[in-house]
Amino acid sequence: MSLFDVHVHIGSSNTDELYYGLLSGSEYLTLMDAADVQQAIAFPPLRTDGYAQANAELVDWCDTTAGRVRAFARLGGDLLPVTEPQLWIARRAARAALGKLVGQGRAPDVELDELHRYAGVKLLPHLDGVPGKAVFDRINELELPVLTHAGRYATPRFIGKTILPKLKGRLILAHLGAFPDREKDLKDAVELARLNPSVLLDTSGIWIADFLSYAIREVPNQIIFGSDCPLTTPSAAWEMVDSVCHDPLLKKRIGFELAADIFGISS
Amino acid sequence: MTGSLFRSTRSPVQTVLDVHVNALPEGITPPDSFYQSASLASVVKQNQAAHNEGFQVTGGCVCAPAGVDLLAASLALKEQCRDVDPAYANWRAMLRFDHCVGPWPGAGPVSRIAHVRRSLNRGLKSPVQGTVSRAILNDPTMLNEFAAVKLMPQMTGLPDDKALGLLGDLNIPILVHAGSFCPVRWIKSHLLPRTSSPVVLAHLGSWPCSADDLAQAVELAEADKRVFIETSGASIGNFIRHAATRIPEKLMFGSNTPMCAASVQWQHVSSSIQDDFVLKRVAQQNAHDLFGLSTSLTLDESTNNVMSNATGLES
Repeated sequence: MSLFDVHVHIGSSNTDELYYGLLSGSEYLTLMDAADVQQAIAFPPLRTDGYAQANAELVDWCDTTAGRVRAFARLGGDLLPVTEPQLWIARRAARAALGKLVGQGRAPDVELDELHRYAGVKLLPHLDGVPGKAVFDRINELELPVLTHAGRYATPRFIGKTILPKLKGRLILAHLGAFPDREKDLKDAVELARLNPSVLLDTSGIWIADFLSYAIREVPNQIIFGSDCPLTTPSAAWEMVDSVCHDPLLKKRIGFELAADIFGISS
Repeated sequence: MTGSLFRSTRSPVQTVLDVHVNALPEGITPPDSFYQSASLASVVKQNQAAHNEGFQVTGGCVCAPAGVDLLAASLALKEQCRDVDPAYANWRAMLRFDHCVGPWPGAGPVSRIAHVRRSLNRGLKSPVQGTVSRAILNDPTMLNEFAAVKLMPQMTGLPDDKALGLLGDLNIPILVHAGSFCPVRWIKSHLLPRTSSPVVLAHLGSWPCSADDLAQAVELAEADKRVFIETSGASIGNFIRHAATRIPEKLMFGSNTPMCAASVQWQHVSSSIQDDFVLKRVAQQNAHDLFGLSTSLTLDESTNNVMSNATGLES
């Protein structure tokens, strides 16, 4: 079955964390072929020095794939929300606010007049910050979908209050809103999706079958396939969906059609 | 160094031993839970059906899920694994402990407050041994034929020194939840000094995805010959790769079925380990060496039955 993978990290992280292997574009193309992934959305992995260069390099590479892989711009901002009562989050938020105050705010991750080159935007609010009003205005003007990390440190409740009201288009909550294994966040994310048809939940990083079963049962038409490659392969990520969802039509919708519809690709 | 993260060639392994399966024996009602339960019969049947897809779990270690009478369910699983049906020939039960009176994970005052709260909840009585601890201390032969015991210290605490000592005397492996709520450093300082048994850290020691816990688990397995690691719950390729590179002889395949189908977990594992020899060790050999599970199974395709040509499962 043809797939559309909406959650891929291509390029290098500078964090030295074990999470991110260095996935090259060419290796991902090989993995696409192996899993019958026809289309994909990619963005750079986590970086601590901003995304200006990583975004630019990725969108240039995507241009060489004849539209098979499209880039999302990873954007941050000077507002780092204290999403959960954690000292390290508060410390980072204070440092970011102070930096802005003394004129050393975050450099733009993409110039606004370049944002049209991207198929959407990726957010990681608790580490990269939340973009300012001008950026959201531009996102809305271009009708770009936004995909945000969701779960621990960026809860669906926080996203529902802080990100969703700023957007006119689609909002995709990664990891079913429940990274890495939070049942309460899953239920909150499903509720957010139920109340807001523009909210979708991506399947990336989900390794608990019960989470996926619950989300598919509750909001079947708002589930979209993502692999989180290189954390795992698209084949393995799809195998998880396949092990849980037994309705061929729904599988087709999750695996390809919903994303194709969002990005204007005929299926 | 191949330059690629994931295996680009077909996995050479078609049959796998799964050392971490949660399933109910026949006749036990599933608990009322957000998390689904599976019966051992359905797990075995599913694995047989998967044979046609080129991948099959041919045996492993199975324990009862939370929320049922763990002593009764564990004994019933052991009985079911004795079934004459060859499909069960290479499955062995793990005895899962219910509440215990030994230490609970936590540090200093937090742990003590939690202990007081638990005592208050039980009506200000001293903690009482769970039925499993009492049963094995009354009759150690009850442990015969169990492949291992499973501990969830964050839910039950550790068994007391007598029970752990008995497990050590009989050299029965201990599979222990490791990661969140039961960190590797706690296992190192509270479980390992109390037992001489082999200890298998579940979930690469890093439930759900803690790189620090993973690093500590791998270091511990390198330093202590009794410590092993299994892969259930591990979906991050780099985590699996790290463990497979550092401790190939101590890493075993586990899936935590039904939380994750074995076929899904195997994809995570097999795509992340590029060395065929290491992958075979992880798939079968290490589990065979520790639990005495047979690696030499053949498939009778005409009946789709799993036939054991093992000389015996007891070790």
